[in-house]
Amino acid sequence: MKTLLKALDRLDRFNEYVAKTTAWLLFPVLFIMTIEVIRRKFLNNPSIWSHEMSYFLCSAMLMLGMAYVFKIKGNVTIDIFYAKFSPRVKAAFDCFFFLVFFVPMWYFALQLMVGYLIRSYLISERDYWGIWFPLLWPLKAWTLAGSIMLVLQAVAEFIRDAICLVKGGERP
Amino acid sequence: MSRELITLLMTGSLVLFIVWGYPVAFVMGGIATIFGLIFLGPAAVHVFVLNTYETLMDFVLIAIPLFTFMGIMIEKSGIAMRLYDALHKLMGSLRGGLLIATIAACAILATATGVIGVSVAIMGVLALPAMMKYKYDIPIATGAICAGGALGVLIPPSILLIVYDDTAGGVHLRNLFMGAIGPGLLLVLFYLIYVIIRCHFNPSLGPALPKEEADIPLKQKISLLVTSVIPVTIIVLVVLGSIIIGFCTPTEAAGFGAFASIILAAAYRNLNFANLKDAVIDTMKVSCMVYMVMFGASFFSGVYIRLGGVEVVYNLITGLNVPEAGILFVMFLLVFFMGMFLDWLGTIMVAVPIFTPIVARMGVDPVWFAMMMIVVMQTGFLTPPFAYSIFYLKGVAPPEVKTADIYRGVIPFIFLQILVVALCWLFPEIILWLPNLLYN
Repeated sequence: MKTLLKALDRLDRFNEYVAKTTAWLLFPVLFIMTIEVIRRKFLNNPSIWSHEMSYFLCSAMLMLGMAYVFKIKGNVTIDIFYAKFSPRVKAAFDCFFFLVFFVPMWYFALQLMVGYLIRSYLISERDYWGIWFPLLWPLKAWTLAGSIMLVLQAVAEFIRDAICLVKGGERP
Repeated sequence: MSRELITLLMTGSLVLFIVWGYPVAFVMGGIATIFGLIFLGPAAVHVFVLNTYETLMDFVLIAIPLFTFMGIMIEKSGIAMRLYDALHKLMGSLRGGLLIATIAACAILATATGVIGVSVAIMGVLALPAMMKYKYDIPIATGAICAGGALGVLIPPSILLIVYDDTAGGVHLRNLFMGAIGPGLLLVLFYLIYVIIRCHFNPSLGPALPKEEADIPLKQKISLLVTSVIPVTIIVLVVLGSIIIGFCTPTEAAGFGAFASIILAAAYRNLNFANLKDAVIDTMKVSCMVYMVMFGASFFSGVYIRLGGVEVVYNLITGLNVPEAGILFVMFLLVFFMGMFLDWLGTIMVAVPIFTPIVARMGVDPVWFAMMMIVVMQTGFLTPPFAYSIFYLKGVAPPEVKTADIYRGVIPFIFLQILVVALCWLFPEIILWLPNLLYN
């Protein structure tokens, strides 16, 4: 049991580290935006890559942060009742929802994401919006990576909830 | 199973399961998965994955993290504090002057931050102790802070409008931004008139500052204005203005605004690594929260539409033989109740996918409906006993402020909100004149 909890803590720390590091990707985005406006409006020399580059960077920041935000319960919830529950009842509800809603959704979603990533890589799928035509598989790769991190984090939370539910007392 | 029954079950399970404290995104996604797999077959989850890619590749939505960053940077860098402080000194000699300062600061911060909790919390920390020190009436002070803070969801460039636009579809974001200006200004104006009149006839509610404190030389007043009020106002006007005249896209304006907020923080000598790091991490948290709920909700509405939910509800409503105004009234009432209990994302995500397709079929102007819905929802945010803005304020207020004081304080502002809703209903031009003027 102790080793298991230690492994979960390590997962927490890994996800937190990744999220807090990739959060800095927002920075290049705001510089790209600012420089792009200047280039296009004042120098009449727009770049061909700023549009795609900014959503690439943002998507990595977002997807790789999902697991950490789940861990710190940063998601939107409606907690008018939840806030008043005891830890054990909270754990029971979270276990139920994990099994009934989270698992089916992500079980299928992860499979499909793997398929989409492989296909995207094999056919060299590109974004044809502008004139840069960037490859799309990297975006799908970190979308999958972030989703896997999120699912692992949710499993970790489920194990902790289950321990709390069975043993009672403080949630590990 | 008939389409009617499926729709009823799907909507029913959403209402039933969403209130138990599990992330809204996964409850909506889970329900969509289950109904999709049963009634649409194994391909249903493709809707989720493809929507997710599409949302991540959406250039307009990048404005969300950028505007969030701008707001957080303005909060962390002490710009908000300087702004309130300056307005406090400039307005203090008037009766109710600090209330005017609070509402004005809220209106400016609403454009800069765009999230409800932030301005309520800032004003609760800055303005409330100041007003208490000068013996202002606590209910009216807290009411003004809650009402002013709730402006953040409406006054553009609000993040709520970006999310609304993406969820509803079919409306240009620029039109929503422009549509929000009329009702937003009207609300600010009504708040101001209300506090000025109340304090004029009953100076004990908001006494003018004592002579020796209010008597600031003109030169100092001008320098306060120039150093503390004008810079942040200029940023806000440039960001908003460049969107209005179509100089650049909302996303680029957001990027520029975020960049400018860093420059401003540097100018005020508040730019350091710790502030930047906090701002970046907080931005990541807020953006992930917003995006995840958008993933879940767009999956839900994708399955809901494919199962024919929109037609079922539309047929049901038109079969009732109720006039259009009655249907709209019921919708607004539901949104109001949701606003009382849920936060803005929850309300938008549940109400928009179900209501907007029906309203579009009824031929109601989508911009008008969006604004009405948002002002109604904003009224819900103020309405006791569970309203979010009241909780935020109670959380940061000095202990001698009772929840009952805040309850009493927000009531007049709720009536002002209802007045604005009624006016916008009777005179849709309040909402529509600006978008029509600029883009038609």
